[in-house]
Amino acid sequence: MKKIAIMAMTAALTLAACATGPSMSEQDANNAISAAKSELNKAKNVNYAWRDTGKMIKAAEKAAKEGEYEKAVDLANEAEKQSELAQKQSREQKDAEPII
Amino acid sequence: MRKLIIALTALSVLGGASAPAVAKTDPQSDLNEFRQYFYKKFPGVKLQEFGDGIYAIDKVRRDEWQLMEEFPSYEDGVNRGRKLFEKYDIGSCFKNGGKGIKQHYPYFDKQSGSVRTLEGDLMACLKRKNVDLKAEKLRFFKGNFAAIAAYMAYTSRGEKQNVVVPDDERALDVYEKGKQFFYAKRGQLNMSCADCHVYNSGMMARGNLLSPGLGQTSHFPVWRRKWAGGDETGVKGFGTIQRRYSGCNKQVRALPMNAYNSGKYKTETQHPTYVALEYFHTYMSNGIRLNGPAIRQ
Repeated sequence: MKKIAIMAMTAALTLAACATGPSMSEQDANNAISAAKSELNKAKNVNYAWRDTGKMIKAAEKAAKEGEYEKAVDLANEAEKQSELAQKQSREQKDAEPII
Repeated sequence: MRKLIIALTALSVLGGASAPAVAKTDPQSDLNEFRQYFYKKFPGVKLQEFGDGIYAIDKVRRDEWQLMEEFPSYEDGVNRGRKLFEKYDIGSCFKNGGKGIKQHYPYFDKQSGSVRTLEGDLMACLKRKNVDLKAEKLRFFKGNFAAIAAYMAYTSRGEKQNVVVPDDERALDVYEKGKQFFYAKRGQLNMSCADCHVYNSGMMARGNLLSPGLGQTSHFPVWRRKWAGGDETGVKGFGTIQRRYSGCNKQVRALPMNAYNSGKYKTETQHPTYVALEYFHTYMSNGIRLNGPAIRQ
């Protein structure tokens, strides 16, 4: 009886994990990478890109090539966010002045 | 009468809208404020002593540095720079045979309406003379190229920096761009040049003492063991001030200017933003004697 209960619980947990885990497609990865590239270009246009964003996009492309779409989407989303913040920083610092 | 009032009002509004960016630029006043800030922050340190960077504010490091300067690692590199300078008759491109002139750089060239740096003019000279840049490994910022610039700095030792920002809208515009860059936060760490080298100068960033912004430009090109990578007496340790700007930007996790545009700015030309920064930054050290090349941490 105890064995059956453990097996049932294991099965239920496995099923739950499968049901809630995100499944990303190649298309999702490509879209995320494309959006990240677009934001990076905007940050570059105002000379405000961050150091590692380009590398992050390359890593996302590598992951997508290897079929790791979820990882690719995560990396691309992070890169996109970085470039959005960089653009915000550029706007905020436009009139930077000494505080002395 | 009513028309006249309307016209005068319109003129004053237009004048007010178009002028402010340049009208408020006052380099001399900026320089005075900058100096006063550092005099207050480091009481007892005299103007000329700021040319020694962190060695003006830390006695132990100063003693160590003075020992290093007895047999300086850059000596052979300066000789290499001199040989290249003579081999290609670089002096013919410059006033006074290219010797003792660094204190006037960067300068505003009225004819082209642009600011020229010593390294910019040096590269232009090499190109004019059709020097095989690849064969001689002459690239902006480091190595043999920086060694020639180091030799030129060496011939200018003792001269007071004397950068002029003329009352010309174009020159003032470049100066303002440089100033804005110096004080603007950037990169993932959200830090400006001023965060380290003004507000927190004299403080530690990990194992490094942050140098005061005043006097920083006096000792470039510098020789750093970090850059030499084991080549203790060669040219690898040399770097121009724009190489340092690039390094600083990377340290705050910002993409350095020379990495933009697919490497166009890596070796062939200087990024205009760094030229503007160098113009402002050097102007802030006006009056301090040149003492480059120098060893730095």
